Amino acid sequence: MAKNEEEMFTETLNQRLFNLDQSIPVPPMPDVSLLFERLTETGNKKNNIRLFPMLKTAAVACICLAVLIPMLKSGVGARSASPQAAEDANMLAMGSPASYDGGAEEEYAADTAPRESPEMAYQEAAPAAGESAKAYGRGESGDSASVTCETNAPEGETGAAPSALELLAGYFAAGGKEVAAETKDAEQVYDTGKRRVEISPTGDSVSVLVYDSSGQAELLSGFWVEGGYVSSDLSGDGRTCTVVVAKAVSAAEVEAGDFMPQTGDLSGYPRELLAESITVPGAVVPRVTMTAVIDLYSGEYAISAELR
Amino acid sequence: MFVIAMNGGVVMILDPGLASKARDGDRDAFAALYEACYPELYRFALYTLGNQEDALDAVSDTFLEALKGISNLREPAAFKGWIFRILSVRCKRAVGGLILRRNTFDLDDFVETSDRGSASLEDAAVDNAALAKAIAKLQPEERMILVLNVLHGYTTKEIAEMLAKPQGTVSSKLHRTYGKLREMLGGEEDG
Repeated sequence: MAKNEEEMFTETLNQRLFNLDQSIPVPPMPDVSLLFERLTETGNKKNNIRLFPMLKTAAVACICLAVLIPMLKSGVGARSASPQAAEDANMLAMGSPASYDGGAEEEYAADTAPRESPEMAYQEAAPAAGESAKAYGRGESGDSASVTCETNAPEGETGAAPSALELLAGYFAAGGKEVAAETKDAEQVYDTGKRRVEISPTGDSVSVLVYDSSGQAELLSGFWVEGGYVSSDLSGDGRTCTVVVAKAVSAAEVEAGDFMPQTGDLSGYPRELLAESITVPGAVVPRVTMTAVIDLYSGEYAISAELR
Repeated sequence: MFVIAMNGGVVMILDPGLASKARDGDRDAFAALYEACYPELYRFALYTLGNQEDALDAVSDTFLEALKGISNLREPAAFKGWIFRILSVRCKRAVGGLILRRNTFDLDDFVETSDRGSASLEDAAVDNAALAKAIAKLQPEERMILVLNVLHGYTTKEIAEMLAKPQGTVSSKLHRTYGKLREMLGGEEDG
């Protein structure tokens, strides 16, 4: 019975897909002669400059070899002499080809489980049917050095904690000022040999792309988070990457009741982090700090948010 | 070339003679292939990348690459699969750009809004919009697999070759994609 229903659904869905497909407006086709022109252009360019890059590449290769061979010799010696070399996982961040060596998946999973956030669930695994992405509080006491308003920890009769929005409204009502998030513009790239993580601040958001560099450098995972880039780190022998992003909250946003940052994944369907899931560690700061923990094995990630 | 009906839709089968001539340097034959394939390739790129601009770029680059490489095409009958493979690689490369540029799925590029006139056309447009919205929530690779399988009639084995994935992965992703769509659209159909 259930199978019949499933088959019927599949049939109906396929029919709907055909209908949609045939109704999609196709923009006018560019003239094919443009393609032939582009082909001629690229062909000519190639012919004209073919010799030059070859010579240039050869010269650069010679110089690189001359410089790298002595460096590699001394580097290998120094590394093998260091007893801590194997434990220095963060060296992977600098592009060392040494990486986790494909250990058992269970071991990997155990190692990469975010240790301080047992409640964390992977956003990608959540059903995306029109729901906002969930952000899970990590329950840590964050550093809130720039706090100007203490949290009036709500011990009300109902026991219900005020929402982050209410706390922020109270903060601004008490004369609190906006606090700019201290962020960086520089791109950050980690290469573990098997995975390449590219973190790119792009104006008002931070993009994170994870490539599987063991094969054809295929994109394994990707997402963006609204805000500025604060920091990032590899841990767990390069099996986990943590990216911290911060977004300042303005009084106007709080007044409009819309201060939570957006996030998006490869589906191109942006979602807002759930305000209910934001953590307030000790004091109210008008800034949302998001921590994305990425499992570099699977590409899955989880984003937690705090007012700090 | 032939156009055959399949499950109410249409799937285009190209004349291998055209691909053969194009391979031998006949530009008119390539132009005919271009004209025949363009709408299908555009739609495929649109499903994958979610917006017209990226889709047009991917299709344009694909044809250019095909033009450069067609002399090496061993089996002219396999032209369509070959060009879809080029396009799927292009799309996979372009997917990272969706994140970098925060490009979103543009539903307007999926639904014709100008020719609504009757109630039935209106209903069809609403139905299409709901489906496009559900597709927007899928991952690009899920969309690729769904479209190649359902709209272009490729088997999971052929799709696995095109996308350089194990067949089991493609099958399970297809199954999961149906599950997701069922979850997203099921309530709407029940109601």
